[in-house]
Amino acid sequence: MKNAYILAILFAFAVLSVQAQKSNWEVPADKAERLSPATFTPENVKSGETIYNANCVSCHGNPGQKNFVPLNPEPGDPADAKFSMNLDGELLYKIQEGRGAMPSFKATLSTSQVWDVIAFIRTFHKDYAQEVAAEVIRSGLSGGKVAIQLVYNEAKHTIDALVTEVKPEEVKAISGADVKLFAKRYFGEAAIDEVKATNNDGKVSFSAPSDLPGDTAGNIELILKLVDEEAFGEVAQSAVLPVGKPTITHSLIEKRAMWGTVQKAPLWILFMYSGGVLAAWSVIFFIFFQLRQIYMAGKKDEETGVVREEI
Amino acid sequence: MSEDQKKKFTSDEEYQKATRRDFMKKLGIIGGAAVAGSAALVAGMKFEDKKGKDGYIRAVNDDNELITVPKSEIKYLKPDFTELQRRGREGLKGRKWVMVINLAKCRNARKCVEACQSAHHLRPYEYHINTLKMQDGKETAPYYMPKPCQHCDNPPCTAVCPVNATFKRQDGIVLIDNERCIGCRFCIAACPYSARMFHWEQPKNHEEYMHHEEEYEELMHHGKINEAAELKAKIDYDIELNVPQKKGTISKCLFSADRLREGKMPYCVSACPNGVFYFGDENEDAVTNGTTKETVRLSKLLRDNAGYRLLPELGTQPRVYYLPPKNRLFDFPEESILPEDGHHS
Amino acid sequence: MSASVDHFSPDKNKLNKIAEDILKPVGFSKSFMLWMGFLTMVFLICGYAYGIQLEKGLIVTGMRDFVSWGMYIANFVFFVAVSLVGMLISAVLGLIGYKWIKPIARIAEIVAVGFAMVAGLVIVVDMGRPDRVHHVFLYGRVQSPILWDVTVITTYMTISILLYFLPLIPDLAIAKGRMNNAPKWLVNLYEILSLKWNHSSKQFKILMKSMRILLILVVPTAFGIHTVTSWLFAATSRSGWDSTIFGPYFLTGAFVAGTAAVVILMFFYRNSFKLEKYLTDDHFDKMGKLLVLTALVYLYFNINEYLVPALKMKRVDALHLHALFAGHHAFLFWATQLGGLIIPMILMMFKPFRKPGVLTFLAVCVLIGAWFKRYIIVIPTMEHPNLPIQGVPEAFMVYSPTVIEVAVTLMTFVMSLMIITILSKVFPIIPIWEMAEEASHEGDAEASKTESLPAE
Repeated sequence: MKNAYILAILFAFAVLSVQAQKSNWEVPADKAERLSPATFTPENVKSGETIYNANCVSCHGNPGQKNFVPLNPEPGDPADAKFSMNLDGELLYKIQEGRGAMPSFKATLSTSQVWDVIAFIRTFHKDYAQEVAAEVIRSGLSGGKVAIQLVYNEAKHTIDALVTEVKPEEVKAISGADVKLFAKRYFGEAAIDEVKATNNDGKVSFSAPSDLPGDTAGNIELILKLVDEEAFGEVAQSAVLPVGKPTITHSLIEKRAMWGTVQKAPLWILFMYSGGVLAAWSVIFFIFFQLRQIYMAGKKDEETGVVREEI
Repeated sequence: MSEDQKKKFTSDEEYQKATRRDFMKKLGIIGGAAVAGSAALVAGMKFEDKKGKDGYIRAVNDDNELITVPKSEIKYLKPDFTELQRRGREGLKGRKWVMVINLAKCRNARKCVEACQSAHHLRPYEYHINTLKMQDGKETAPYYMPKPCQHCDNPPCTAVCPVNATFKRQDGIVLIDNERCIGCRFCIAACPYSARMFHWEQPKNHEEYMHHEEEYEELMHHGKINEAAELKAKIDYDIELNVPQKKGTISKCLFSADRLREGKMPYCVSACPNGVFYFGDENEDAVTNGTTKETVRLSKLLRDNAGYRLLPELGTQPRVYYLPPKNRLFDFPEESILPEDGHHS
Repeated sequence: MSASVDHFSPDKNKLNKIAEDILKPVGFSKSFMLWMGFLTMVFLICGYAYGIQLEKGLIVTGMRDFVSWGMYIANFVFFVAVSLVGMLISAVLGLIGYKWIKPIARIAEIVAVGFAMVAGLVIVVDMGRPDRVHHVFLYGRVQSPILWDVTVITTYMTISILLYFLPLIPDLAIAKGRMNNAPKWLVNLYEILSLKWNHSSKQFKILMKSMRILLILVVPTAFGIHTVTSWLFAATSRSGWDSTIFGPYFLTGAFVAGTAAVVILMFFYRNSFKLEKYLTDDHFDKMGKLLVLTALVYLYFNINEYLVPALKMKRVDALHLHALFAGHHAFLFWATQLGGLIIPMILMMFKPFRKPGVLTFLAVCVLIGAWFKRYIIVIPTMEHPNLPIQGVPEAFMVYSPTVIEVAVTLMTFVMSLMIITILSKVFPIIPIWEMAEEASHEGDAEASKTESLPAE
């Protein structure tokens, strides 16, 4: 009996700790320690407020007014301790990545826009004192610029990229850098394959998405991005390559259909309608003609003087 | 016209003629899109060539004379009514718009509804898109369902329209022309999704437009043609936005055809705070989430999440897909919204 | 009308007597003026109501986004339905060769003309933009049932007018010499419209041929007009409308409504125009039997229409049927089915209930029932769409007609009555020449000897 008791308590603890863990949003240490490269200015705060009102207010409400939407889990008020306890880097990570009901803003807002939002939120945190990143170290570079070459290897059906650092005196391969490949679509960029790292020669190879529709020749505009913005800045290179499926688009109103315009009406209905109208109205006009015949017959009798007895 | 081509002409006059011809051809292609006017020129003047001397642009005015205009003086006007109608009926070539609605993420924030109503000048109870509380059976969970026009590939509404006021475009959008509509409401009767609404009375900001009309007359009267033209462009009926709305005509969701032309996603899609909507081009096999702007493969999204369409048994073939309300992010306030007999009333 | 006539050789005395009887009520009497004055007054009042609707929009009706078709469309179906009786009596019974319909045929055609002419207007009254009616002709889509409806109504109206006018020509010729007290314009009108008719066998031949062609043509046209009207509903996928038997269901219902309307008019003419000799008890007896027959066929379609979905109880069908059988619309549903169809039908099976007065009363019940039946067909279906109605004011969910709607509906009835009244006072209501010929044939066979018209 006693054992059962203890088991029950243990069980309860286990459940609670799982739940606690669930509500605890762990941020990887290196990300948590990130700092803004510049001191927050009133301009940053103002821009952050605009962005906040456009993207965040519908769930989190206005900071300090606790008018967030009562969801489960609670989105919370950004002025509260739950938020102020976070490091700048933690806030950055959470806004960018999202979790559950909290959408990811990675593709919507640039890093500097997210910093602006953090600048705005921090104005509600009384004891906050900003720490600025000592120096922006482009750790991956040694004074040069990133250059990316994208080529399509038809034989292996891969998209090969060469990532180098170009300096006036030399061109050096960038190795071990995470890169991501995207295909340009009408409203955004669709990721192709996983994040991959460049090898010692600065090369990386993605399998070509042969089933992804391109233009009539299969051309797709591809974009290669370096993932580590801290190390390389925002670097992207695009190229149009024939990696996709050649696609001939068809208009949705090519065929004749009941819902089409008159020009696109099914032939049978055009014939039936016009045939019916023509048949009925030619008979009606024939009758009008007959009425005229009656009149003409009477007129002829009148003229030729055929006298009839009055009826 | 290139420099080489220019050399072929012996005199400036011939060159002018040729450019004029060239220009007319271009006009034919763009269908007489009236695009520009400068402060000194009457609206309706047409550009001929974007090149020309630095800071100047060559254009043809209403008297068909070739003139040059300083670039700084150029104002781009909205395309006029005829052009709006033409391109609105034609649609975007090579596109097949498609919407995906993830029911697991909807919490009835109704931001989509509000954004739509504000863009299309609708009252709070006039819907192009509405979020419905749904429940399929007594033992199943209730969920929220945003419901725009389904833009069917076999549209029953369009089949019954007597005057081609509602029609399907090559990019799949079912549009409504309220300059054409006679208000018979057959399309409302035919639509199985209750996606259409009617202007039973003067629409929401009718008075504002009446005021603009008067202002326009006034400006014309005083010969302020430029201001008048600018105002006219503002009050001209835009078939892709269906604004201004008109009494006695139908209105409905347009997939924000005006935004798509600019490369932007529909009003409702962009307004959602919860990542419910995806929008994209089926020809590209890609849809983009309106909230996170993340772009994913349409086929994979539908395959992985058991995407479905509303009332498939009717064979309407909607261009709107739903992802089932599985693992919903938000709880429904009530356990069940069905009355005792288990039917929606 | 029998198609065999190509010589008109009536007994002169009998013709005189018949012409005198039938032409007596023709002309604008005091009671006619009073009645027309009354109708005009009602028309103006109701026209004012329509003016309000034009000004403010359809917001003044009880219709909203969900029940977007209401009383007007129900009324439209009713008008089309009633007008079909012209075809039933003249063509179906006439072509079969029933002689007793002769004095009734013109009444049936008057009903057809009166209601078909206004039916087109009833649909305009329902339109949000009546100022754009011409769009139907400018931009018409042949795939839309509305275009078919507009086409076939116009055609049917034209044929009905011809079917009314053609047998009238000999009567006008007979009447023009006998209209001693008539105003000059009426005599002139008769002169023009009689198309120099002189009863020659050539003219008769043409007339008979034309009538025969028209009687054949009117059958498919009339079937078309009401079948197409039923497709306005059956072409949708809504519960209660999504039915394959809607064409015949509407058609048979139309015969019930039209026959009842003719009975009522017959009773009125018999008493007011003193035409007991021509519209006899026997005619009423026969019309009563016809009404029973049409009602039986209609009942059969009703059973099909409601029982089949009731056996299955599909999702929305179940809601719809519940509203009809036991819910919001139950009273109206059972009142129309029992009081407007089944009970009158059973009573009319017995001879005493086919006497003119009683039959007319029952016909009134049937006609009112027929109107509300259309209401029951249109409105409840619209209240039950596939997806729930949410986030709208209460008025959007349940339909209740407004005063203005009722007034505008009344206006359409007044217009029909005006057309019927004018036609029955300007022209003889019973075919004189046909009655005279009939009487001559009955009386004595030597009638043909007394007069011999030169044959062409």
